[in-house]
Amino acid sequence: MEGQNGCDKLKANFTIISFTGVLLILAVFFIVFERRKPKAKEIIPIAVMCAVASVSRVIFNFMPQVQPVTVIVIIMGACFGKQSGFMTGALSALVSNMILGHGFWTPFQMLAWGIVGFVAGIFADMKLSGSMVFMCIYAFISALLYGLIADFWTIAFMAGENLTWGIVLSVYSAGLLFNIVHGIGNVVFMIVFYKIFMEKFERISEKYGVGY
Amino acid sequence: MRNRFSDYPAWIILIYFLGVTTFSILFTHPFFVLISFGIGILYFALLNGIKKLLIQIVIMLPTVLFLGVITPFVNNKGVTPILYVNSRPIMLESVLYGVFTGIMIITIIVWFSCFHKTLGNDKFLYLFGKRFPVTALTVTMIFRFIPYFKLKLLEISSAQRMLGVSTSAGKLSDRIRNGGQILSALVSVSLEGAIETAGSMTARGFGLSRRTSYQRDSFSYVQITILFAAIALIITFFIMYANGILSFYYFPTLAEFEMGAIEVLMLCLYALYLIMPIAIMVGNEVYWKVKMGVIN
Repeated sequence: MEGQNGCDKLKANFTIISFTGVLLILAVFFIVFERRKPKAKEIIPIAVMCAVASVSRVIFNFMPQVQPVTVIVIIMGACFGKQSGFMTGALSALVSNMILGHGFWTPFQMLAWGIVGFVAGIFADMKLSGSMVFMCIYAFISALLYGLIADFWTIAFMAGENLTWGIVLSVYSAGLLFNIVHGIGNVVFMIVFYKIFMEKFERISEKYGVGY
Repeated sequence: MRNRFSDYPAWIILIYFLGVTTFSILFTHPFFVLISFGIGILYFALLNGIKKLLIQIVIMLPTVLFLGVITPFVNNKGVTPILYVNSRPIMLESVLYGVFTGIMIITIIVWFSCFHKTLGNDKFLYLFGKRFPVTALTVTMIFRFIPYFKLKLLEISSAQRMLGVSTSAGKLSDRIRNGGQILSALVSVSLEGAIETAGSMTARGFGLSRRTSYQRDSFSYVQITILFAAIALIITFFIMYANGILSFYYFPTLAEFEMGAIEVLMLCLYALYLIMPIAIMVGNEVYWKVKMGVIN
């Protein structure tokens, strides 16, 4: 009976479960990417744009808290497809945490940015990425999507062995203002970057035949 | 003092720190939380110095206070009211739960920081490079690109400044537009250059066969002993946890946790497990001093 109880508790530790769960989801994405044996032409844009996303923080450091990373991830997903979008998002998070220091939030941020890029790729498949208005709306929503996944680590931590709606609501409402500011920043960046980047990527893929 | 634990094979470091973080989450008893917190802080101080530790504490203290204050409002499952706010009882159990959750989060952050210092980026890539070769390569390339692009960025922004394009002055909307222009130039230059790199990589046979990552991991006897000790302790803790011996709960009332012989023994073993990297550092230092003494 005692042992039974222990096992129940082992299953119920929400922190460990969600952390492991997120790692497994990430692993699935990465394994699918590795299995396809991507060509050098495919991984180079990802590496370049991850580095650009990280360097672009230097250009825009006159506006703290607002960075173009999310928009770069979305545009990558829209131009080069779902998987490139996911990889750009996940690796940007991984690399910036390698510089700033890892934490429990690393896998959650990787998944959050990855999903943002992946969804952008899905919209591109549905031929929605051509519309500037749609992309701006998605840029705003993606900030909330990012917050929904990335803030989950706080919930996972606070919940421990008893997850309640109270915890979920309090964490998300505490983060809502930040996410809205993030979303507005995204829309601004989307307006500035969208045409520039789309033209550039299209030119590159016409010139060198990069992408899918 | 040099962090000798970081000279250990990557797998040992990974297993050790996985154990530390897992048990820091699972063992919610205040004594266990505090011991992990204390040793984590000590290790952090040894790696980063007292000054950085103090800065870190100032940054992290609000977390504990915030959780201590917010939890009782979100969660009033306890039974011992200590205070009434708007005729709503604030329970002692909730406050304690919040404070200890806060300490636990800080503990994990501190241990993760130690993990980051101990398992360098090269070892990190080595660990995952075998299973995820393309990803590891991409990450390596990103690390190379970042300083290179920063250099390029400097060139571009000084050239653009001559044209009156700058992000350091003017209206916000102009600055954003100028930032966009600089970024656009950076993307063009770097993408073009990188496509050349991709061509050259393909020409040299990228993706034709497996790459090897050169990192020799030779195990010494001390390291093997440490590895086995760590694994044995991890298994012991798991068995104890699964049997509910170390379980502790805050609701509805604080668990009556008797510090019997087994619990004290577990606490000692836990402390022993956590103190391993520090012991390795100090042990090596002492060993070195003794050897130097023999020479002199």
